[in-house]
Amino acid sequence: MPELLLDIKEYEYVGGMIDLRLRNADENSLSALEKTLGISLPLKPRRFVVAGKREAIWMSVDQWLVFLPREELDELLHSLEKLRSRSGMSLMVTDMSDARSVIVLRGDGAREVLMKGIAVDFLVFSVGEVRRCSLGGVAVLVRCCEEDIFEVFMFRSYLNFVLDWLNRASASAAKVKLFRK
Amino acid sequence: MIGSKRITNNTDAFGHWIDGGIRKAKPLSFRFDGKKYSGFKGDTLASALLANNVRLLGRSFKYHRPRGILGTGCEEPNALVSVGTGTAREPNLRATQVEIYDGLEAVSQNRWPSLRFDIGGALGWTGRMFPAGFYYKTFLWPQRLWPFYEGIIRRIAGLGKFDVRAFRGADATTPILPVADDCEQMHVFCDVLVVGAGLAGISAARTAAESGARVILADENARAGGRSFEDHEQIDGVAAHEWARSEMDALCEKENFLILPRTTVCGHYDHNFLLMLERVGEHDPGVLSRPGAIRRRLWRVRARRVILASGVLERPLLFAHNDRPGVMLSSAVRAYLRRYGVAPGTRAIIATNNDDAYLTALDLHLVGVEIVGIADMRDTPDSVLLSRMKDAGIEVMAGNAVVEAEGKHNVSSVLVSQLRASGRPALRPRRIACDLVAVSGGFTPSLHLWSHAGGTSRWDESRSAFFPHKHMQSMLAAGAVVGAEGADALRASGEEAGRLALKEIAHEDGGHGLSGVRVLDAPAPRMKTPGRLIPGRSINVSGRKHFVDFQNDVTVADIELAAREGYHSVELLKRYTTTGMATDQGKTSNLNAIEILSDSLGTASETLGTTTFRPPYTPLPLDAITGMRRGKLFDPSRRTPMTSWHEAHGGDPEPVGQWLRPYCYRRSGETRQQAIEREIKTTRSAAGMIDLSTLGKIEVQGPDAGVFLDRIYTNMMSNLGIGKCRYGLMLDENGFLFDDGVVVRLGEDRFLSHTTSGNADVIVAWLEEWHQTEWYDLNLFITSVGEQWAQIGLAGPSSREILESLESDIDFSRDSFAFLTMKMGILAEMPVRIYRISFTGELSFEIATPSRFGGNMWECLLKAGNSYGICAFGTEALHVMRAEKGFIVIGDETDGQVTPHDLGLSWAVSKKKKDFLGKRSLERSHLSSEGRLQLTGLFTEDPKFVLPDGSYALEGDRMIGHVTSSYWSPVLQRSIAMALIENARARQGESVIIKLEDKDVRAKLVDCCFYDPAGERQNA
Repeated sequence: MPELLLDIKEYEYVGGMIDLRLRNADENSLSALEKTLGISLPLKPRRFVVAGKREAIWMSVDQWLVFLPREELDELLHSLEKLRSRSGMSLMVTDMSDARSVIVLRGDGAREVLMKGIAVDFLVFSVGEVRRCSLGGVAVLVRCCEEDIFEVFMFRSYLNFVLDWLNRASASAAKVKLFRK
Repeated sequence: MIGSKRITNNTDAFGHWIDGGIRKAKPLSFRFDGKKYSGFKGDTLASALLANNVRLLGRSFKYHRPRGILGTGCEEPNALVSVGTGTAREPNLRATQVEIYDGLEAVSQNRWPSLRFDIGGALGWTGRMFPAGFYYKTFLWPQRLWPFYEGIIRRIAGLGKFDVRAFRGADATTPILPVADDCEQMHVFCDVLVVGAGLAGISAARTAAESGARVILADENARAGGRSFEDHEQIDGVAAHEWARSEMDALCEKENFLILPRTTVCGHYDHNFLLMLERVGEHDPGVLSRPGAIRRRLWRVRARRVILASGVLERPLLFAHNDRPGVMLSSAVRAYLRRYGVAPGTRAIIATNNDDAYLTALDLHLVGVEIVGIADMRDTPDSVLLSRMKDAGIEVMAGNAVVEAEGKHNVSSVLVSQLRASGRPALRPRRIACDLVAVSGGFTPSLHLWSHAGGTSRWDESRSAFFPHKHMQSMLAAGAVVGAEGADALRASGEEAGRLALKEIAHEDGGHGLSGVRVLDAPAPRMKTPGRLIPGRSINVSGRKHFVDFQNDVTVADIELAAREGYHSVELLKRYTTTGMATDQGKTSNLNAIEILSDSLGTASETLGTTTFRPPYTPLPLDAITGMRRGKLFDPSRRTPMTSWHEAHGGDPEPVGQWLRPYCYRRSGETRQQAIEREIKTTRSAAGMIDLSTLGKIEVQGPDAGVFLDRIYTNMMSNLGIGKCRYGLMLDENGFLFDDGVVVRLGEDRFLSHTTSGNADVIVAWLEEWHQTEWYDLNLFITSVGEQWAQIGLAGPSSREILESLESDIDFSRDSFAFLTMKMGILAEMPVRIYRISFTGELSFEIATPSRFGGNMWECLLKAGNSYGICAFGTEALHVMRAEKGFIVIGDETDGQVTPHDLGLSWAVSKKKKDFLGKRSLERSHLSSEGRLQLTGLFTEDPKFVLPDGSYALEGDRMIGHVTSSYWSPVLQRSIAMALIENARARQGESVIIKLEDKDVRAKLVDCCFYDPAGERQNA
C-alpha cells in the first residue's frame, strides 16, 4: 500500500437520515414542515445547513436529506407522517438511515484527489457546499465540511469500491498540485 | 568522415546553451538494438543516437526502406522505436520525443533479421507490390483466398509489434496480465488554456495570468521556449530563449498559473473541453520507482478560452529518394545543433524554397560543418541573405533544386539541377558529395486543434498554406500558427490573444453572451516565402520514389496515379493512397499531398481544402484513456450486508449487474454441481436461505400512486389491499416484457415495487421518466430504497417453524399469515417487513430488515435453522428451483421480443384496464397472431441429457425456437428445460428436434411447471 496524502476514514453512517420529497409547497406549509423538522431547508441549490444536531442537505429542487441523531429518528418520522396526513402536503418521508455510508477525507490535496474522478471544480468549492456527482462510475454526494475536510456519501454497497478508488487516487507519489490560488 | 557527432565548440559558437550546455549535464547510458551508447540528461533518443553517429533508425512501413531522423518533435514520421522491455515495451514511439534515462532500452522496428540487413528491403520486391489503391485492385479473385493474402501482407506491413505472448501467464488459461497500475485522469477548470509554450504562447499566458485569471500553459516538450532556441532572434536585447526563460520564471511564481510540460493537447471538443496527455514519469525511472507513482495522466480540461499557439511544422521537399537517412528538415538540423549540441553531418547541402533554411546554413557553418551549397528553388533569393552567405563563403545556387539523393543507408551525394522556366529540372544535374541534406519546403501551421471542433481554415497563396480562419468555439490562435514571424511579432501576437481572451471573459462575466464567431486575419508574410515544391516531377516516371508520406510510404507517383484514376477529393485521395493515415496523421505530408493533387488536377489548393482533422493530435495510449479504471477499479463491485459472510463460507461469486452474488456455496471437496444439488435438496426437504438484498426496491407514494402503477404494470395494482402482495409485469412501449417483481401495498397511498437485481436503477429511471415527462399531473414520489433494506429469502417446509422459534410479535401461522401477504413487526429484536411470497415453490418468507441488521439477521436465521438442517443457497439453486416450478427469469425466458402472452402469463395482463404501457402494442397483428414463439417445458428423450442453454429447435431446416433455461433437476432426477417454440401451446405432447453441434436430440413439449403443479408446497 503506497503512502497516502490524505487521512481517509470510512464510517457506517450511524445517525438517522430522512429522505424528504416535497413539491408545490406554499410558504405556510414549508414553515410548518421546517418547524416539525427543527431546521430550515436550504432552498439554494447545492448547499447544506447545520442547526444543532440536525442537518439538511439540498439534493434537488424537490428533495432534501435530513440528518439527525438516531434516537430522535422515530419521533420525527412519526411527526412528519402526522403532518403529511393532516396537511395533505405533497410530501414523501422515507427513512434512509441505513442506505448510505460515508468516507471522510482530511488533508491538503483532498480537492485535487476528488478531481481525479469528478468533473467538478473543487478548487472553488467552499464550506457549506454539496455536490451530487459521479466518482469512478458511482453516484456520490460530496460536501465540504471544513477547508480541508470533505465527506463523500454513497450507497452502502459501493463503500469498498469508492474506498479503493480514493486510496489509489491519493497516493502521495501521485500528488497533483493545481493552482495554488 | 561521414556522420553526425556531438560538437565540442557549441558554447563558443552560440555563446549560451540551454541548461548551460548539454555537455555539462549528467551523462547517461542507454541501449539501442542491444548496443550500449552514451548521452546526456536532456537528450532525446534521436539526439543521443545522432551524437553517436547512429543515423539508421528503422525500416519503413511498406517498402522496408532504411530510414533515419527527419524532424525533432511530434512530426517525426520515420524514427519510430519500441521502448522498454517485456510487458512494458511500447511500440511506435517517436525517437525525437523519447527522453533518455540511464538504462533505457530501445529497439528499432520493421526489420528482419536486422536493421542493416532487412530481407524485405534487401529484396526490394515489396516495392512493386504496393501501388496506390493496392488493396482495391489486387487479389480480388478468388475471394476465398483473401485471408491467405492478407496474412502475408500483414506480416510484411505494419508498424511496430505488440507481443501478446509477453502478456500471457504460464499457460493459455492465465489471463493477460495487466500492465502496471500507473495511469490516472484529472479534471481541471481554467479561464485560459494556452496550447504551446513558444514565444507567442508564453506571451499569451503572461498577459492572461497578469489579471489573476487561472491560466494553464501546456507544451508537449520538456522545456518551454518553442523554436526560440534555434531562431536567431532577440527580445528586449536578450536572446529570445533567454527572454522566454525569464518570462517563464516570472509566470511560475504566480499562484494562478499552471505549467504542464511534456503535455500534449490531444483533442478539442465542443464547449471548450480538451484532452491532454501528460507524460509524468515515463522519462524518469526515479519518479516511477515510488509506489503509487503515475506514468501518464490524462487531463480533462474545461477552459473558458483556449489560445492556440501551436506554431508551425516544416515541410520536406519532394525529390527522388528524399527519404534517405541524412535528409533532414532544415529547422530540425538547427534544433539538434542548438538544443543538443549535435551536428547531424559533416558536409551539408541545403535544399530550400524559402529564407528560413539560410539560418541553418549559418549555424552549420558556425560550428564548422562544411556547407557545399544552398540549392534555392527560387530564381531570386533575398539579396540581404545572399550577401550574408557570400560573407560566410557559402555558395548559393539560385534556381536550382536537389532532384535526387544517392546512397543506401545514408546520403552520400545529391544531384542538383538547374530549374528551367517550366519548373522542370535541366537534363544534366551536378553530383555533389554530402552526408546531410537540410530541406525546407516551407512551413505548415499546426491547424489540427483549431479544426477538431469545427474551426475553419483559409488558404494563403503567398505562403502555400492553410491558416486558421473562423471558429465557433471560444478558441483564439496566436503566433506562428496565424502567420506571425519573428520574435517581436510572435510576442505581440501572443499578448494580443491574451488580452482578447481576458476581454471576452470579462464580457461574459458582465452578463453578455458569447462574442460570436471570430475571424482571424493573418498578417502579411514578411520573410519565409516558399516557391515551388516539386522540382523532380518530370522524373517520377523513372520509378525513383519521391516520398510524400514517409510513414505510410506514399509517393508523388501514387498521388498522381490516384488523380488520374479520378480521386479528385482530398478525402478520397487520403483513403485511396493512405497518405496522412499513419500514426503521424500526415503532419509533414498533408499539405504536400494537397499541392501535388492540386498540381495534377490544375485546381487551386484553396478549392481542394484539407482532410478533416480529428483527435488525437498524437497517438493516445489506451492505458491513459483507461486511467484508474482497471483491475478492481474497472467497474464498481457492489456488496450487500451479507457479502462478507458469503465470502467466508465458500460463496462462489457470480456477477449480477454490478453485484457479486454467490452462485453456490461450496463445502470442502464439493464440486459446483454437488453444492447446487445439496442446496436444492436441503431447501426442498427442510429449509434454505438466500441473500435477496440485491433486488431492486422502489417505494412509490402519493394519492396517485395506484393509478401510476396501474399504468406501469400490466395487471391491476390500485385494487391491491393494504398488506397484500401481487406479482406484476412491466412492458415497454412495444409490448415486450422487460421486468417483473412483486408489488406490496404498504399503506393507503404507499406501494413497494420489487425489481430484478440487475435492473433496479434502470427501472427507477423508467418510472421517473414516465412520471416527469408524460404523467407529471400525477401526484406521487418515487424513491429507491434498495440500499435501505437487506432481504433474506427463507424457503422450505421448515421455514415457518424456524421463524416461530424466534422471538417475534408476528403470528406466522398458516391462517394468520396467508400466501401473498405482508406483515411488519419485530423478529429477534430487529425491525422487519416479512413478505410471504415464493420463487422456489416452497413455503417461503422474504424477510426485509434495515441494512445495518442484515448481517445479524442472516446469522440469526441460520442459527435458528440449524436444528432443522438449514443451508444457505446461491443463485443457481434458486434458478433450478424456479425452473422446476416453471417461473420465468427476465433475460432467460425474455429477450426483449417476448410478450406476456408468449410466456403464458396472460392471467397477469389486465383486460379491464383502460390503458397500460404496452397495451396497444400487444394488439398489433403480429404480436397476437399465430406462429409466435411460446413458452413450453421440454423433456429430453434421454432423461439424463441436459440440453445446452440457447440450443435451437429445428423443423426440417427451419429454426422454430430455442431453449431458454435448462437444468438437471435433483428432485425430479431428470433434466428439465424451458423453451420458446413456435405455437408450443397447441403442440403439447409433440416432439421437436434440438440441433446440437454433434447430434440431434429429441425432446417432448410438456407443461413448464414440472414440480408441484397444484402449489400445495408454497401454500402449506
